[in-house]
Amino acid sequence: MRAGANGSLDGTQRIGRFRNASWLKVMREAGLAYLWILPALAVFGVFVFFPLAKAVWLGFFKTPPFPNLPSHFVGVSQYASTLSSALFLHSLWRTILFVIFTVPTGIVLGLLLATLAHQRLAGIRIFRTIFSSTVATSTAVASVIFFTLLDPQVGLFSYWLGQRGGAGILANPTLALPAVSVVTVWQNIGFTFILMSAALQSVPDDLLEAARMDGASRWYRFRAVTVPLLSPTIFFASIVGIIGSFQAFGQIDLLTQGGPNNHTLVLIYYIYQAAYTDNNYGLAAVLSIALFAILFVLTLAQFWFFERRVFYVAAN
Amino acid sequence: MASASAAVALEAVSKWYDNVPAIQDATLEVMPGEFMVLLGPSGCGKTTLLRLIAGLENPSQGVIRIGGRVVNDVDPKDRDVAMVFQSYALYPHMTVRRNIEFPLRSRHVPEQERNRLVEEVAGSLQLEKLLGRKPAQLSGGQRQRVALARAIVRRPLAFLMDEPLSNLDAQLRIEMRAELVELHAKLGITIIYVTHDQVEATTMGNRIAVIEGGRIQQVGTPQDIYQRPVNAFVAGFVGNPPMNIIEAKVELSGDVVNASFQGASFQLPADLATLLRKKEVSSVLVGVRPQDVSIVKEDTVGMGQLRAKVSLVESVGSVYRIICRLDGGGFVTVDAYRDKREIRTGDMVELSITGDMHLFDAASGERLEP
Repeated sequence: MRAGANGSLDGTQRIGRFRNASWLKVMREAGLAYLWILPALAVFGVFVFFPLAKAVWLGFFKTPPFPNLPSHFVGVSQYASTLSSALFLHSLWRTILFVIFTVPTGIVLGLLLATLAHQRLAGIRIFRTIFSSTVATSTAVASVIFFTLLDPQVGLFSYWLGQRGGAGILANPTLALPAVSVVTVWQNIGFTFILMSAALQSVPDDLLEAARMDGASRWYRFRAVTVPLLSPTIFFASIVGIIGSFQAFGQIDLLTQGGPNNHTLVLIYYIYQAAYTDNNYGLAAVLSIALFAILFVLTLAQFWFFERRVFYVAAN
Repeated sequence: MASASAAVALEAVSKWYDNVPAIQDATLEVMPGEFMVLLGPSGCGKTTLLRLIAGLENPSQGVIRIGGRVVNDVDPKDRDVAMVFQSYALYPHMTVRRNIEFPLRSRHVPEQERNRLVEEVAGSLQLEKLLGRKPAQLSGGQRQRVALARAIVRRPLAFLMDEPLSNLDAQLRIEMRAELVELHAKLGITIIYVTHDQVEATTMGNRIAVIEGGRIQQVGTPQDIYQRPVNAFVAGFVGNPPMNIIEAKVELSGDVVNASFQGASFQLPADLATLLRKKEVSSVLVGVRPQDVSIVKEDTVGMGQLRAKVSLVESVGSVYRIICRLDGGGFVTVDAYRDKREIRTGDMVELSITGDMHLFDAASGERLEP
């Protein structure tokens, strides 16, 4: 800038000096920018990137069957054998089922409740509070409540479902995973409800009024106007929901411990068993990396898909 | 009560929100093919009136008819009226084509028919090339036309427009005004148009309903309203610059009736004087359009003179608009001053009323007319 203002310099000199100055400026700004993100980078490095690299490294070592024996390097063979094992594939399938049971149901129910509560009615706040209350419920509390409801002797659900007596729903190979899914959906519904309620508030009234004038039925207005405008939120809820379901641990540990007969052995529980029941850190590391890779690819795929389908309202 | 031929008729319609009146006793008839403008300042209830006709609000009292049918309990979609919103309310995730055909899709019009209607409307509004775009990729004027196209494509009985031009810049607004008038003439459609802009109202409307405080003050042609405002509010609201209104005492002395205020005084025309005698009005509001006031040295019309001090000289193209403070208090605007003699702020001048005078009862604001 100063070079440009200096009348004694000729054109080329001015441009040369200007270029030089701007390059320096860019460097200085970049340096400053890196300085600003350094604290965050340090935290991520210590708590995320280092453990990740360490886990990959651990996966190259076979944990000995007895403690105090040295673990030995086996390279990628442990990855290959674990990821092709029947138990891993079974666990992966149960996890996928768990996600299918919980995520779409959770979003549909959350949206439904949010739509119901999105009215100007006396006392609607009471319903909003009730609908969002599960946010304040811990997994442990939710699990205990449902454990009682599913109890074969005293459980209300067991009574309704005609499953009184015997081993109970949680010991039933067909019903165990759906039962755990119900707890999960119930617990997440408050969060989804709050998300969807907030998103509904942001749908402009005049768009819905225009649709009403245009002759759209209530359902068509919802389907053709509201839902597309909610798509960023639905996208967000689905990513958070899928990641959450892949990592759901508490309810499984409290209700079924992976049983009966591994029917609720989702990946995260498999990892937990490998690491803390069997002390097989090599196996646990391999499984963890597999879970990470799955979530990573899934998130990328979702971004790719929703970039085409999600509509973001442009700020005017 | 209402004539059966009206496209839209309101009969003593009122609307309260929690005991706060928004519309009081509104009666209005809009004839088929008419361009009716609802004009008023913000918060006067004009948009509420439009929403009552649309069915987006329900009247607390009164009857609303559309095409002769009472529609008080009819859903907006079945009222056969289309609405153009101030924000345009285009569906941001749909292309222009999908936006325009939305009312047709909602009504399950077959695809072939739908395409034909969309092409036709898009053609008449020069939107053919934009059919594949999303609203975010359009200019303000283009969005406005899409909103119009979406309303027109249904061929409704009446169009309701809520300040449709207020989001456009000045130049585009003038163009769109002309386009709307042209469209109205071409299609012979009934339009009820809400605006706070009196220039829009007077240039576009066949008739204007001036609204203030939730009440319809006057309904008439732009000329009617300009030349014979029924009360002081309408007089002050319609016209640019606004009418000068001065409160004055009525003084009777023999055959002569004078209007006087704080020292200044001028004689009223004979016909008005008779009326004031008859009605025994003691205090009046004298309204004079700025172009009916002149700056003079001598008494040219024999009505007495007003001494004033120039407080602002505005240049309006080739002429000047001069705002003066009267000796007795209050401001008077003099429009279209094109004298060779230069006038500066602070000059003392004498004003004379050279044109029509409007008289209003100071107590009620109602027009006093022989």
